[in-house]
Amino acid sequence: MSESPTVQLVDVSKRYGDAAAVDHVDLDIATGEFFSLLGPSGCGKTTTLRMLAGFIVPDEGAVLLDGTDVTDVPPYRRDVNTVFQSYALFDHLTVADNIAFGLKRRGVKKQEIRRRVGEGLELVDLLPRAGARVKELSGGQCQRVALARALVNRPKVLLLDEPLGALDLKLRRQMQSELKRIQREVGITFVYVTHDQEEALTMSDRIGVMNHGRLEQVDAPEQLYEAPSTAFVAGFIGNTNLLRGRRSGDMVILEGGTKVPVGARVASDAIDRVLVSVRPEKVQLGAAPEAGDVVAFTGRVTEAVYLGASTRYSVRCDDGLLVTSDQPHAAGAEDRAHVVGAPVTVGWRPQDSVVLADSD
Amino acid sequence: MLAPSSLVLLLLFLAPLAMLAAYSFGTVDVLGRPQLGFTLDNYEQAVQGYNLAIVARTVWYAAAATAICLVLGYTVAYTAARFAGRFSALLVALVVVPWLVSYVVRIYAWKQLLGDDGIVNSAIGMFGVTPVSWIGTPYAVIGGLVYSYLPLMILPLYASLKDMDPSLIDAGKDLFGTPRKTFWFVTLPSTRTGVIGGCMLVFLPALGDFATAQFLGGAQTTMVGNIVADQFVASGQQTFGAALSMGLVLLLVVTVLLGSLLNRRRRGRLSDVVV
Repeated sequence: MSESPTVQLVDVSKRYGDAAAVDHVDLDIATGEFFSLLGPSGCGKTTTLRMLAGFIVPDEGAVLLDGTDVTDVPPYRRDVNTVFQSYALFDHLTVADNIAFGLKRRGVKKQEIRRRVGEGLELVDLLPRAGARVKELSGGQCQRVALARALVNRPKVLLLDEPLGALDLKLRRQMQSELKRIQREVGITFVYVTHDQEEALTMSDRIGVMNHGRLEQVDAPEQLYEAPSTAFVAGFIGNTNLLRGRRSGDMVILEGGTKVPVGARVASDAIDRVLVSVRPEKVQLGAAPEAGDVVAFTGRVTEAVYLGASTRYSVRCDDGLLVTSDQPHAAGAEDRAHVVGAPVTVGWRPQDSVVLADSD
Repeated sequence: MLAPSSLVLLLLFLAPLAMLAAYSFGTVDVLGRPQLGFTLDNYEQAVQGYNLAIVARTVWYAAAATAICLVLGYTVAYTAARFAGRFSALLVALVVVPWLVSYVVRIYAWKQLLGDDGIVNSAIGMFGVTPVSWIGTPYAVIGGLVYSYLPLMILPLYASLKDMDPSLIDAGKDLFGTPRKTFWFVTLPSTRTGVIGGCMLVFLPALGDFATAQFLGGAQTTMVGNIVADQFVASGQQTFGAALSMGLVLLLVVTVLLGSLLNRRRRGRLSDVVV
C-alpha cells in the first residue's frame, strides 16, 4: 500500500459573502514535512489552516488526513493540534496543567499524562517552570508552552498560526531554529502559516505561496526564489527587478525598446505582455560593458543605499528602464563603489532571468 | 492629612456605622428613644432561636436568588457577548434600562402580576392550571430578588466574557474538549472574576433586602431586613435593630472576605500540579 500524504486538500473553497477567502485550493503535504503557507494578510492562509484544524468547514472540496475524509469532523475529534497566534494559554492553569489539558480531555491515564507532560516540558526546556502560572512567563516561554501543549498529544499534523509574530527579532530567530530542531526531533508534520518570507525560507521544506485565496506556487525555498512561476511570487519572495516587455521569439523587447535574450527559465508562454524578472544581486554593475553572454545597458546611478553587507544601486538606463543592483561589500571590493550620477554599465546573464506572465 | 474625598467617605459611611455600633450596645428609655450605654441585651435578643431562623432563611433566599441569577445571567451575558454581534452593547443596555425605574414601582408591578387575579394566574389558567396564591410564598420572594438583582449579575459576567480571548475557546476545542467540556474547563474558569463579582453583587444586597419580602412576601417569608426595618420605621426598638444590623454587617464582611479569597489567584503549588 502506498503511503498517502498526511494532509490533502482537494479543490477546497471557502467564501464569505461574495469574496472567496480560499479559492479552489489543491494541496498535498507529505508525512514529516515542514510546510509553510506564505502570503500577505488576507490571502487565505489562516482560513486554510483553520479548515485543517476543523474550525471552518469548506463550502466546497474535501480535507483528508492520512487518507481519511475529515471535512465535517469537528476540531475536538481531529487528530491535529494548533499553536495559536495569541498562544491562547489557559491562565487559570499552571504550565504543566496547560500542557496536560488535551491528554486529560482524551482520558489518558494519570501516570501516562505525568510522563508525557514531563517529556513535553523537557522538549521545550521548561521543566523548572512546571508549576509556574502563565502570567509569570515571558513571551518566549508562553510560545514554548503552547508548542508543548500541542505536541504532547502527538498529533498527525501540528498547525502553527504565525506563532512567532509577537516576539522580538532576536527571539524570533532563536525560536525559528528551535522549532526546526523540535520538528526534526518529533518527526511530526508541521503546517506553518506566516507572512514573513524570510521565516518561511529559513524553516520550510516546501512553501505554498498564497494570494487572493489561491495557491500561486508550491515549491522548495530555492525553487521559489530562483524559479518563481508568477510575478507575485517573484515580488513577494525577496526583491526583484520586474521589467515589462513583449515576447518576440527568443527575445523579449522591453518597454524602452531594448531586446534581451530569453534564458532557460520561461514560466509563461504569454506573448504580448510579459515580465522579465532579475534579482538585484544577479545584476552586474561595472564601469565598462563585460564580455560574454551578458545583457548589458548603459545608464547612470540615481541612488545608492548602504545596506551593510551590500549597497543597493538604482540605475536609470539610457532607454528609460530603472534597474536595481545589489553589490556585495566583498573583500577587495572597496574600490568598486559608484557615486550617484556616475555613468555605469548594468547587465545580467540571460540564465539569471525568468520570463513571467504580466497579469496586470 | 486626609484628602477631602476621604473625609466625605468617613463622614458618610463610617460615622453612621459608628453610631449604629454604639446604639447596638445601648438601651431605650421609656419613650423608646435610644440611650448610649453598655449592655449585650440587644445581641442576646438577636441570637434568639426565632431570630436565627430568620437569618438562616435570609441566607437561603439570597443564596437561591444568587444561584438562579448566575444561571440566567450567564446565559444572557454569553449570548450578548458571543452571538449578538453589533447589537451586543444594546442588548446589555436593555437589561439595565428597567433599573432606571424606581425599585418600589417595579416591585409593585410584580405584586400586580403575581396577585390572585394577576396575569400569571390568568396565563396558567389558560392551560387549565388552578390559580395559585403566589404572594407570600418563598417563590415570589426569591423570584422578586432574582428580578431585582439580575442586571448586577449580567454586567460583570458580560464584561469578563467580552474580555476573554475567543481563541481560548478554539484552543479548548482543539485540545479535544467537546463544546460542553470546553465551557466547563475553559470558558467558566476564564470568566471566574465575573462569576465571583456577579455573585457578590447579587448576594450582598439580597441579604440586606427588605422591600421584596415586604411587598411579595408574607408572615412566613420575613427576612432579616424586614425585622431591622421594623425596629427603625415602625414601633420597634432601635437598639435591637442596631444590633441586628451589626450582625448583618458582619455577615456581609465575611461574605466579601470569602469572595476575595476565592478570587485570589490560586498559587501554583508543585503538589497540585500533574508533574
